Amino acid sequence: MARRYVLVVDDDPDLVETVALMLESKGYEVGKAYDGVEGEESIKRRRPDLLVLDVMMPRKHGYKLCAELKANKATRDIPVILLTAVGDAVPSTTYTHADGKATEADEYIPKPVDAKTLVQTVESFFT
Amino acid sequence: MAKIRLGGLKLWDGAAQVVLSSACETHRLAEIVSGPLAAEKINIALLTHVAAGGESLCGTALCVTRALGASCSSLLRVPGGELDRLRLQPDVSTVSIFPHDQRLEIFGGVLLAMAEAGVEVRGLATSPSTIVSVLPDRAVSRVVDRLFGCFAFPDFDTAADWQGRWRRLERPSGEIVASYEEKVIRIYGVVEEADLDLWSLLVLPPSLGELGAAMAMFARFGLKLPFLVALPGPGEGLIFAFCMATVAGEEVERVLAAHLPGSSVRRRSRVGALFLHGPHFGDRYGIANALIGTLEQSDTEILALGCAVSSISVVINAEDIPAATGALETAFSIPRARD
Repeated sequence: MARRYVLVVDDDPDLVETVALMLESKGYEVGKAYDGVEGEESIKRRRPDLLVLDVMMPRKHGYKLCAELKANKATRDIPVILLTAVGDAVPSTTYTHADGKATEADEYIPKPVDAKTLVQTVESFFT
Repeated sequence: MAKIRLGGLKLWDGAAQVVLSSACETHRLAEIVSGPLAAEKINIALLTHVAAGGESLCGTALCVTRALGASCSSLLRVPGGELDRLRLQPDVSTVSIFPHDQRLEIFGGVLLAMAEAGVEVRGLATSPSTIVSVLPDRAVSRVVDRLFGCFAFPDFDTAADWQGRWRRLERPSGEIVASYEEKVIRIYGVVEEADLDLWSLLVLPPSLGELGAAMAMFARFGLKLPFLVALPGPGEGLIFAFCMATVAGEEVERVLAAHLPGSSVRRRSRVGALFLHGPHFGDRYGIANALIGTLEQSDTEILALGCAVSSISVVINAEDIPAATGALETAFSIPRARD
């Protein structure tokens, strides 16, 4: 059976490596992109089975990219997991958990993301 | 030869570098450098420190936002008031490429690009994914041009393409839209790597290419490079400190002697490296100070240190690893899996 392809989009390359290692160790094929526009272009080139998406990024932030994907018939059923460090710690900010839900992301994981939590959340979309 | 394909190239123009030479005072890095800056809420974008190389191969260098360079320089508590040990370089930029995957052919390519560009390199640091170079502003174009000769980047076909488009990209303005100050800093975890040697040497500009060639040779042996920093040293030289597996020690010594004859190379065995990474480390102040203070309070000697991107890499004696990781795990918050 072909491996599931997960695209990780985050402007922190160290975080991308960390998440990629977590998922690759569990048998996923992982693509990497380092900002919202690059992520968007990567999705056009190859459709992921799931998207792990940072919120605060240059060029296009994660909320905007997620909202655009969900508004597009061709991509709306790609599961999106939003990663953010801010949602839990700061109750009132430009980026909040409520905003995340409003953009119809499928799941939200606060940073720093634990390997087991991430893998369990990813796997929950495929079982 | 086919270019090595990388994930990205980033530029931060608008930095200042502060260099403190010969700062080998044991257990005082927090007192002299990181503590005063954290007290003033100054974010250190890049920090490098070498203390294992003997008096001539010791120093600390850091990069901050350009507007803070002078004030940052005045905050450092230079021992004995020896202000001639302090240098401010007000017009520097950082050029970052990633991911390096610890591949020595990539490190070698970066050094060769710098050497071919004939620029004055002001520093280097690595994170688990990224190589960061500190350069004078005026050298950036030449270096980027050479980097495109060695590497391929996904968004840009040529150096000219990058030069033309980079400044028009929507880049972060630096405006903070949200900030948070945790009582206990959250990190992803502490990763250890043991059985390493720490190599220190002074490299003069004409020899930078030879060090790059040496790195390329190490790559042919299948070696990896988990840690590297470089900072301004005596004269026009750069103090390099990097870690390689102990089992490769003889090969490393032989290759360095062949490529850099006459260089005084120091090897310190039985060391290990610790890596910490956390959200928004690059945008917040006080993280490095928390780590340095924790290690110094646990009596752990910091042999070398690099803070770059969102990660901190620190080299310590292998025998100190258990105590150091224990101290870090109580000083920082590491997430646990949900039930």
